[in-house]
Order: sequence, then structure tokens, then C-alpha cells
Amino acid sequence: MEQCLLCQQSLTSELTLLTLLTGYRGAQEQFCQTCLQKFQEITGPICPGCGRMSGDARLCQDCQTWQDKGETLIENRALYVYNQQMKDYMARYKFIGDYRLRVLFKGGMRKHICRRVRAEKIDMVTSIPISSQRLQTRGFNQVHVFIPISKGFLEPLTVSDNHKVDQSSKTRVDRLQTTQPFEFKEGMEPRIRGRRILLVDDVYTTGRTLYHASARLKSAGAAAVFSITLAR
Amino acid sequence: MNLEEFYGRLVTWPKARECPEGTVAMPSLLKGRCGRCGGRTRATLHGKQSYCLDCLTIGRVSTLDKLLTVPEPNDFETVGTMHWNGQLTAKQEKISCQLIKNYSEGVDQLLWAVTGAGKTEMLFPLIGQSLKRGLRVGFVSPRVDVVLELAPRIQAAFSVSLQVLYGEQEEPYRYSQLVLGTVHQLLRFYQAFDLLIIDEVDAFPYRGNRLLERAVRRSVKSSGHLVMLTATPSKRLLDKVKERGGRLLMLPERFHGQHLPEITLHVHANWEKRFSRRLKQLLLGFERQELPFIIFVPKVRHLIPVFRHVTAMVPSNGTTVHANDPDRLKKVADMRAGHYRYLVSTTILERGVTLPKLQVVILGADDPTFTKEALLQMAGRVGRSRVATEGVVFAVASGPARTIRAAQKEIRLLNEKAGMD
Ligand SMILES: [Zn+2]
Ligand SMILES: [Zn+2]
Ligand SMILES: [Zn+2]
Repeated sequence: MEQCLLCQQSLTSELTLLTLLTGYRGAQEQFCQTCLQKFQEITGPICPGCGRMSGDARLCQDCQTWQDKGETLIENRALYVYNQQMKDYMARYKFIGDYRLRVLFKGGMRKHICRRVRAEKIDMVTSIPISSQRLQTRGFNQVHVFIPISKGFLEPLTVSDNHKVDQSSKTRVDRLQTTQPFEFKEGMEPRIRGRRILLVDDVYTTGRTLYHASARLKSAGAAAVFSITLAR
Repeated sequence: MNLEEFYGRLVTWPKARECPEGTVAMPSLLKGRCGRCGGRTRATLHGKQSYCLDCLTIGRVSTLDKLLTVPEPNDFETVGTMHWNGQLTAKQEKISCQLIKNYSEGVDQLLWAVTGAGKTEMLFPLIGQSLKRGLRVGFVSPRVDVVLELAPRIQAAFSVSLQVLYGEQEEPYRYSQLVLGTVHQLLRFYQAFDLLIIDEVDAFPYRGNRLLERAVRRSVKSSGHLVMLTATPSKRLLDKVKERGGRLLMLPERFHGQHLPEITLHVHANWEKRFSRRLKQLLLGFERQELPFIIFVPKVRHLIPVFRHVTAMVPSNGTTVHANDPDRLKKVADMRAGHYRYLVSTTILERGVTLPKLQVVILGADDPTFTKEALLQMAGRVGRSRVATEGVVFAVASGPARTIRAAQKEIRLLNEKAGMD
């Protein structure tokens, strides 16, 4: 019997006609309703800087701090609240490395990215890179699957192993003080000039990583940098 | 990482990282089987890589990894000693000596002892002797509840380096002479144990699980031996032990010498809708005499309606418990501490809950969920302590199902057999 990929409960829902005909199972058919309902979509007014839910749609304290430091806001948009369910999901998807879980947000993220690409006239979509050692042990970059290749996907940045220490093993202060971890890959720097770039990451926590990536891209002449994350 | 943590273990190690000196590497995938659990169900990673789904619950083993071990050297800082000085009854004593004798003769054994026979204590002398000789001992159960109940008793009986291993626990692994844990944890061991004891061999999820059976065999050294424990052996288990040249020990009597409580069958088909007068009177009687009780129901969906029926008539505190209840372990602890008078539960609590004066009601006892073994286990919760050797096992069913009759018959036979020796 089919089981929910998150909680292992047997799935009682009946298969759709499409599944029966093609054998293709949509994301919804591999997860139970109880698990799906625990994810909280971001709706209503948000902070224009980081995309978190906010009652009054004003800039939040954290984003105010970024602005005071002279950063141009990255105008992050996120699909979901980073609640316990999303943390559990990330733990399984990213840290345990259950690659099957990528299907859950693939469609939603791709749609979201396409919409943003149109709205902001983006001509390059990129992801926050993970170190080559991390890639070799995990076996995948967790956000690549979210990015529609047709939208000008390019990965100009790299990160060295000693720089990208596991974010979750650091305190908030550590994370905020990290120095620029990103470098350009060989020959990539000249291709950045004048581009309108969309950065994709899994979770916006402090914004530190995204602002570092943005600063690196802008140093090479990027015209504008925005970001999208799965959760905030 | 300390090399000790590889002793008799299977540690997942990324191929991209250099192996610590002194470790032996084994492949994570061999002839289509997972190197850790032997399973064949896999999911793909990016590229040509893949990982095992059969043992994913205890962490991912992928083709990007290898498995490292260091052959078990029995290199303990100190050797464990027993300071348990409890008394065994004459019958327990006899079994206890046989366990030691069989082990020294190098055979696997199955101990069939009725619920409440005091299996654990009978094993203490064998465990104590093994520890003193510097052997590595594992004591596992398929059920985390049982492991948690066992841990403090073992801790009180021995002074030894001890690790308790189960899924939800957070502490990092440390090398120890005695290992207590769920059967699943054996997937992470490789020829580690000189003596491995498996409690409740007939319980889910161990029963009939090929991968776990394989893990058990592999976690024992080739020179080591198994002791299996059960209160409710299946025919298949008895046959298998015989077939493999193992020995069977049997103790049909409870440690206090009193009979197993018999199952009273009450025919009432409509218990989901309303409780019969007789059932109500029974529950009110428990309440009046301040007796703790468990009401077993076949399915999770029965929990709330039954709980409502009970709260409507019994003023004391109670709650519901099922397998995926995140607070399950805490609720059982609270019941033991006397914060609850009763629990409404699925079969998950058929084992591991021991509570003086506990009474048991089984609703829908003819439901296929309740096998003969499950009925025996649930009945076995009752009358276990020396101060309260009797109690009620009240089964409500729409008719006398084959399973109920079989359980009643087995209890009668065991009681007769106990009377004969
Ligand atoms: Zn689920
Ligand atoms: Zn903000
Ligand atoms: Zn496996």
C-alpha cells in the first residue's frame, strides 16, 4: 500500500484517473492530508524586505537593520511560513537527504519563480551554491529542482568548503558575522554585468546568505538582485 | 570521531571523506541489496546514485557512502558487575540455571514464559556472568515502550557501561559493554555481541520481518548466541527454533505462583454505540474501588467515541493512546504515576505496561486486529504484582470468535500445566 512520504501512514485516498492511466503520481498523492495541512502558506500583508507575514505590511525590524547598514533590500518572497512542519520537512529533505521529497514543492516553486521572472523582467535565475563536499555527500542541491531551466538558469557562484559551515550548527550571531563566502567560477564574472538576477534558496532565516550572494553579484555589475525562498 | 565508536558497528561514511585509520570499509550496495539492511527498495538521487528506502528511518545509506566498522575487540574500560540480590523462586531458579548451561554449551534458546513470570530477573544471572567475563551483551525489544520500562530495572541491577538506543532519542552513540535498545538499532551493529537477548520476539515489527531477522543474526558474533523471549509464541517460531537446533525452555507459571487471569466473554454487538448495563456496572465498580484500568479498542477511530462514553459515567481522569500519538510515552508514565485512572488504547499498549491492580476491558475482542497473541498479552497485564494477583479481563464481542476461544483455551492449558509441576 502507498504510504505518506512524511509520516508513513497508509494513504487511503483513491488514485486519480490520470494516475491509473499514466502511472504518474502527483505530489498531492504521495502525502497525506494531515501532513499537507500543517504547512502554512504565506498570505495577506508581508514585510516588503524579507517576505514574512506582517499585519501592517511595514518593513520588519530585521529588514530595517539591513537598510540601516546601507543594503538595498532584496525583496524576498516566500511561499510558506518556516513553522515546525517546514522544519521537519527540511530535516528530512535536506539533512537526512530523502530526495523523493523534492516533488512536494516543485510545482509551487516553479510557478512562483516564473511569475516573478515576468514581473521583474528577470534575465537570470540562480541558486545559492552548496560546497562541492556537501554536494558529494548529499547527492543533490536541494533547490535546483525548484528552478525551471528555461528561465535563464546559470550558476556563476561557488562556495568553498571551509566557508559554508552548516548554517544550523551556528548561532544567530555567528551567522550574521560570517564574511563573504562566495566566489565567481572561472570566467563567470563578465557575464553578470547589467543582468537582472533572481536568487533562489530554501529558507530565509537571517538573510545573511542572500545578502552576501547579492553583494557578490552586484560587485560584478548586476543591475538588480531579488530573491525567492520556499520558507520564511 | 573516536575509533571506539566503530567497534562492532556499521557507520555510514561519505566516500568523499577519508576513512579513519584502522577501520574496515564495506560497500553500501552489493548485488542490488543495501549493505546495511539487505533491502532492495531504493530511490534515486541526482545522477546515477541511489539510496535505500528500507532503512531510511535510521538515516540514509546511499551509493555515495560506504559502511565502516572495526572488529569488536571487547575493550571495555571496566567490566560490568551485578549487584542485584533479589530472590528467584525455585522454578525461576531452575530456568535461570538452564539458560546459563545452554549458553555455555553454545546453543541458541527460546524462553517461553507466561506474562508476569519474571523473565527479566531470570536472565540477570546469565547477564551478570557474561559481563564479568568481559563479553558484550545486547538486550533488545521490538517495542520502544518495553525498552524504556526495562532501562531503569537493568540500571538498578548492574553497574556497567550502558547505552540505551531507540529512534527518538537524541544523545550521541557511545561504546558500552551493555546495549539496550529497539531491534531496529541492530541495523547499526556488525558482529558485536557475544550474547544477544531479544524480548518479545513475537511482537510487531520484528515478527516475520526478514530485514530485522537478518540484522539480528548479523549483529551477533559468529561465536555468540541468542536468547529469545516470548509469552505468546507462534507455531512458526517454535518450529523455527527447533529446526535451527535451538532449545526451548518453558515456564507456565507466574512468579507469584497464582494463575493467569481468565478472559470473561460478554456478548454485546453494539458497544460502539452504547455500553451495556453489565459493562457500565463493571467500570463503575473499578471507579468505586479506585482500580486503574485500560480499555482496548480495535481501531484508532474508536478511541474518541469510547472515551466519550467513559467520561460520561466515570468522574476520574483518563485519556486516549495510539501508536502515532506523540505523547504516548508520557501518557503511560502519567498513568503509572497515578495521574490517570484509565486509558483508552489501541493494541499498542498490549505489552510493556505493568501496573499493580490494573484491570482490562477489551472492546470488539472479535475484531481481526486482536489476534490470539494480542488477547493473551492484553490479559497478561492483569494480576501481575504480588499484592494483587487477581483481576478482571473483560472481553466484549459480538460473538465467541475463534481467536477468543483459542486464547481462553491457552490460558486454561497453561494454568493446568503450572499446577502440575
Ligand atoms: Zn503524512
Ligand atoms: Zn522583513
Ligand atoms: Zn538499507
